Amino acid sequence: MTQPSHPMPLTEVKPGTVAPVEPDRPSSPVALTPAITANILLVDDDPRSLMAMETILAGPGRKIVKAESGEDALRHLLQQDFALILLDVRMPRLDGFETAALIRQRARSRYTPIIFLSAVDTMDADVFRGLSSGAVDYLFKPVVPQVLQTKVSVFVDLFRLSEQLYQQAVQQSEERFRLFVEQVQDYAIILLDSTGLVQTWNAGAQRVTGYAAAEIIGQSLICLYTQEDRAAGKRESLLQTARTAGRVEDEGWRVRKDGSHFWANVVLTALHDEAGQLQGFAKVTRDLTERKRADEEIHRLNVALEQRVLERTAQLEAANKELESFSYSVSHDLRAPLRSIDGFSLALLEDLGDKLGLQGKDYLRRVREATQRMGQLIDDLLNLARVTREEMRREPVDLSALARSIATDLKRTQPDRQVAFAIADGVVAKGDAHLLRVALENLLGNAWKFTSKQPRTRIEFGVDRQNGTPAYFVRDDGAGFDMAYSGKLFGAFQRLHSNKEFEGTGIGLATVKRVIRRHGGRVWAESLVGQGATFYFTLHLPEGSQPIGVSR
Amino acid sequence: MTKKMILLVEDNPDDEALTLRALKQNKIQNEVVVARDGAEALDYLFARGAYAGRDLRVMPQLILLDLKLPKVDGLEVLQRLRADPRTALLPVVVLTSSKEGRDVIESYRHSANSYIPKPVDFAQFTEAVRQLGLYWLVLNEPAPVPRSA
Repeated sequence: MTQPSHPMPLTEVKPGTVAPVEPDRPSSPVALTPAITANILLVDDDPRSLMAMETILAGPGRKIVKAESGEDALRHLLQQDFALILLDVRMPRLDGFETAALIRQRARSRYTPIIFLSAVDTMDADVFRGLSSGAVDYLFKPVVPQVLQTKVSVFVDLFRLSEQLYQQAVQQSEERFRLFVEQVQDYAIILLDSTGLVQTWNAGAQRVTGYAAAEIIGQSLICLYTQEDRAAGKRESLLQTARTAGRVEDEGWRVRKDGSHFWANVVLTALHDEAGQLQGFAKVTRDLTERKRADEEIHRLNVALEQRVLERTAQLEAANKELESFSYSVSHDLRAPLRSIDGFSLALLEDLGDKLGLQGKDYLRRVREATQRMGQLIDDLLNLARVTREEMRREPVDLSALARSIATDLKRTQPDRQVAFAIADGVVAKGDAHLLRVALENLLGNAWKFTSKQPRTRIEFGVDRQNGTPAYFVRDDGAGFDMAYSGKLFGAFQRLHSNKEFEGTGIGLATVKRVIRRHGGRVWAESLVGQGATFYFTLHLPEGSQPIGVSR
Repeated sequence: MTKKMILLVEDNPDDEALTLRALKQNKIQNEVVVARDGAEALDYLFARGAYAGRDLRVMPQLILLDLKLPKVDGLEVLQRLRADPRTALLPVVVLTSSKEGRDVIESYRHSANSYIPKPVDFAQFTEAVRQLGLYWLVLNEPAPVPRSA
């Protein structure tokens, strides 16, 4: 061993002496350890020759194996590895060259040094053949003991050196791996013996379970299981499954040292030696408590959300029902008094008109006008409510045909007007046919109304594209409106024109807006006073945006 | 039968007066029997209650039926009279305030012959009554009243 005050220089280490291996200086090294045994294979068909060589070469740290034929040599190579092979060239059946070729074919012995032994009269051609078949050296018989000893020593030392370097590398790699495993914090990485007792315990295992290595090494892990799992024999059944299936994964609650619970993901893998014998188990455990709690929270929130959706839906359905019955009563009961007011006013005018005088007649005319306006308001409001609550279908709707049919109806109301309708052909959109008719009736009806002061007008229906989405439009060259008030356009009861100018209830565009919103679309208008107006609407939002439509 | 009588089923006295006025203005001279609720209408049609002993061979040429009625509503009247062979084939025009889709559909489902929403504008109403009277009382040929068993 090294003395601290007199460090032994590497150059003084002689081959064959005890080499100091310092664990804290893993890279130090070129000292040979006799602990590594060098196997030497002697192959010769002459037993006397074998005996002679064995006598010369025997020594500490060497194991001499003798073979009397090429076949015999190959058999030994199947059982063990050799530091060096001495191979007689002249042998019956399989000669030295053929044997060498076969030795080279096996991966394990491809680089094992071979020294050929041959009679002195060997020709140069033989030497060349021997070298080309994988020999590293060539000795002539009779062998000079000193020469043989020296050559073999060189190979034996070479073998020990490479073997030692290899073992150091393995040790370093294992040490690195052990340190790595030990220091892993997030995973409990544990080795168990074949009965399930703890052999190694890393920092992660302590962090996850709360137990220190000293408390648990040599113990079973039963302390980590809950009472129920213990009663159910879970630990044993997991080990058994790993034994038979090779691997088992489990998720469940486990108990920490302090009694608290954690949600564990466990992978248990059986470890076998080369002979297939069970050596133990590798156990990797992750603490997924946070994730489990998050999952449970998400689940809880989902349940609560679903419950709220159900409640909200029920409320909406109730509200819808109420709205429906309200509409129904309005439809029946609110009109009846208006009919009486209008009917008896007209009766008065007809029966007692002479006695009323001009002023009286004018008053009654106003009563009737107000009554009929009220009737129109009720109708429009009912329509607005209906548009909101009616069930919606989505099917291809021929908007061109719809627009033409509405235009025909409008012309019929005032056959004398000169209105040119320009309706684009083949405009088809997906939506609810009834609701879209309501929308187009209002838009075309407005165009009809706001062009009524002009002798000749033009009303257009067609489709444009706005950001890739079809934007349908109704355009007129009528009165138009001031864009400053466009924000009020689509509110119920909002009007931009006095009743004296153009009649209306202010519900039409609110109805249009509801129809379009239910289709997930948008409606807007562009106008200049006196230069007409264009109303655009879309029915589908561009991909990626959220529809804002209120459906049932 | 020569008497082309009309049965008006109407609970609102204003509507009754206005309907009678519209008939009169259109010179529809037929006798009008007014029933003020559904039960009375059925009593008349089947000669029960206040109408017990009525000649069942006399059946209205046309029934003008309101839907929203006290006691027995219009749809039920319609259902009952369609279920009875004596009244099953009588022409029934539903004349009501409502334009609700379900009222229209239910009326036709119960085999109403026609559905007319009463307009608020009385001039329009008078015109509707004129056309209705012309069609159902003059042009239309009703099924003969079945003989009572």
